[in-house]
Amino acid sequence: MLKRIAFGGAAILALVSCQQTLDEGCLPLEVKPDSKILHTKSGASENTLLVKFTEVPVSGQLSEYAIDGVECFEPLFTSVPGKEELERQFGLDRWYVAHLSGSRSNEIVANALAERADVAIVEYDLMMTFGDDLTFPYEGPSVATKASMSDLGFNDPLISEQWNLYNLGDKSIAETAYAGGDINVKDTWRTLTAGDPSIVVAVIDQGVMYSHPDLSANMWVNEKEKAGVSGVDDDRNGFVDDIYGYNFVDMTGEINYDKTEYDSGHGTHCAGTIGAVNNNGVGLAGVAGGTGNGDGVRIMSCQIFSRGYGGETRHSSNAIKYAADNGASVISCSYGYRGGAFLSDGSFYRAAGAEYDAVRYFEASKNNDVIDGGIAVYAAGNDGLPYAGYPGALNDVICVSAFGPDFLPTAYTNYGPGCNIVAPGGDAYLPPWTSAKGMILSTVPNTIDASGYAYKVGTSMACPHVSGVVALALSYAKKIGKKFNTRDFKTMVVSSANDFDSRLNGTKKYYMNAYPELNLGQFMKKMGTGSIDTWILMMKIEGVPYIIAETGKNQYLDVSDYFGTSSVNLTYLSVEVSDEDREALGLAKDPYMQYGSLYVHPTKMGSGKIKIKAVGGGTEIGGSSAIGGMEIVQEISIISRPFKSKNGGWL
Amino acid sequence: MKARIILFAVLVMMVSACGEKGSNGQKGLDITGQWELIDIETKAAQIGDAEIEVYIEFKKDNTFNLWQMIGAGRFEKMTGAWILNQNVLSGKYSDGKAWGANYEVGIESGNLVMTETKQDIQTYIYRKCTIPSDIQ
Repeated sequence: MLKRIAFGGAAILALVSCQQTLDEGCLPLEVKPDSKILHTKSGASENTLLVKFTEVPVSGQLSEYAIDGVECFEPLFTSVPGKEELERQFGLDRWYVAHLSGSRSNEIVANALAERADVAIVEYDLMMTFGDDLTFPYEGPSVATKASMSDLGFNDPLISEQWNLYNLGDKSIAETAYAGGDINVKDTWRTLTAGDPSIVVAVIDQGVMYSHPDLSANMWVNEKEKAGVSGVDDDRNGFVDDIYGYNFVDMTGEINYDKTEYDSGHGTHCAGTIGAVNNNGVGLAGVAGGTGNGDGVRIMSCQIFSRGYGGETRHSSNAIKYAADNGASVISCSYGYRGGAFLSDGSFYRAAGAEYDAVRYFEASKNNDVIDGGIAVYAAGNDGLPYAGYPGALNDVICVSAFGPDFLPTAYTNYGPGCNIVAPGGDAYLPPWTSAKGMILSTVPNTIDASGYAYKVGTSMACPHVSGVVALALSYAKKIGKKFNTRDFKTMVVSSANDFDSRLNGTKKYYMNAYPELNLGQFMKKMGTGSIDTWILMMKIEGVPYIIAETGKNQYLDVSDYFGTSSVNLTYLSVEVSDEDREALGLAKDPYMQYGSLYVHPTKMGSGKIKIKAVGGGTEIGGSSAIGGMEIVQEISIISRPFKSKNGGWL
Repeated sequence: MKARIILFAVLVMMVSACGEKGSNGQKGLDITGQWELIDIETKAAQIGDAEIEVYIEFKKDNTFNLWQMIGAGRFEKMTGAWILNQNVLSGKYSDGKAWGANYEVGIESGNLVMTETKQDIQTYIYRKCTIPSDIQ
């Protein structure tokens, strides 16, 4: 049975969830490409089907589409005034939910619908389960060597526990803890930005505890609904009482997050990593949580798991569209299908077409002047498999794998094709394993832990780090008046990475063999472009310096300012230069990439641009028939001078 | 006020050949102070359209501060030491890397004129300035 899970609690999921889903979930699905019916009935709702018509049905004539076994149709997506054209462009206006009467099985109804000429796609509405989380309570302040608050600039008392933000290589966290194995955010906070309230990040997950003392000031608030009348859609966006977001499972504005058998605080934990309020004297810091002056990015809660229910395609699809329609520029998605369930973008589309269309719609929705669309960030999955889970593996979303405090891959992380970049996801059972501090500390509902804070691990935790860094970059772009298109911006994010492969030698051992010894060589060149580096991304937002080449010489130029220090590990697809720039630089031979450096031979003083295409994660671009990385296109500016200093100085 | 130098296609400069240097062995040559790059004279054919901003502070203790913005959106600061032998200026950065060139220098109409000595094909003209505080 195929199940969709939230990527949390990796340590348990790796052992338990795979057994739950191994029978079918770990194997590629066989879906006929030419079939109208997407996916299989296995694991699907008996009560609903998703239908995409060839034309937009006339609402008054929907009854004409009814067949035996269908009680009624209703639009899958809520149309928003002013966005009809975009909805049409991505076919969202043609998706409907068929509510079944129960008189016939969903399979019989699906077959009958598929026979109609006016039906383009019938999609089983997958019922997704939520994987159990591995949560460890916050254990109180440590007295071991820690980052001082003055280093990080904020007064949040638990900030010294956040190695993921500032890793000093504290051996009490792990004997193999690695100084610098973090997201390098310190100087960005100190000198550039810590967020901007106009940047909204939608957390598509369990509900976020919007009243959490370390989150409430950074929650997105729909002021018209807050000031409006209960039970009334005051802002006429199609959703009633959606003050902090929306609960797409129960279809209510009431976000829930309390601990039950199923709710684990997963959404609240992810939200804290992105936007816990900084410098408020409370709790910990969020990547884009501001400076304590109301300047953090805003968190929108789009709830797709609720008390053991939810996670169906219609929930996630609706949540993504809601984020697009209500101001989000980033969606942080720590959920997905198991690695290996789909092995190409095409097979994913044939199984989850509605969500695929919703992601495209989000990417095309402009909600802030700094970028012309949305940025989708997904977790790679916790199966320990050599390919990413979908939707994260889609070639145009950012897919995040995980490293631990040792700056090494974790036992649970997916890696390989589809994985674009790596970020802190935490690790359990690293020697000496005297505490859970090697995991990721963040906010949770106080029903999960009375302190309001707890540790979790997983690519679920890695994903919001990148979402937060993306939000910081958009905040800084706004501050300095830069504007980007989504393609260029994603290229900058994926190429803002530090070398990760140079540490992939030997093995990694866990405490008391909690996990099998990891052969680190298996991860070589399979952890995307490397580890996300906030400062590098900010420098790219500001603009990348020209590379100086010496006139009249063959030479290999260091392009790490453009591609990060992992440039040597990337797969390069092409190097292009216009005739005009070729002439300006007097290039004696065509430039090319070798061992991560750019070969040029300028014969004239001058300047020009060279366009390099590379794969952001893996060796080939993902597409309809393959799982793979993101195409990153980078223009490199070169000045040819008669001399150059070895450090790039002007003199 | 910051001056932005745009290296632009200047074929005509081959003809003008206006890179006259300051006289060698100039007595009392004093290059200390704060300077801003305002022009690049070249005897080469084509330059391109790169945007460059450079400020240099030569201090009396023979150290220097350099602020450069070459295409990027922020100034990069570098430091080091300089030495003037006759009218030939050379130096090292604080990381131990030598300058990319030595320069013949002179003062012309109050401007610091620096011509790299090795190939004698690029001359840089700096004017006295007060480096803006937001750059330093």
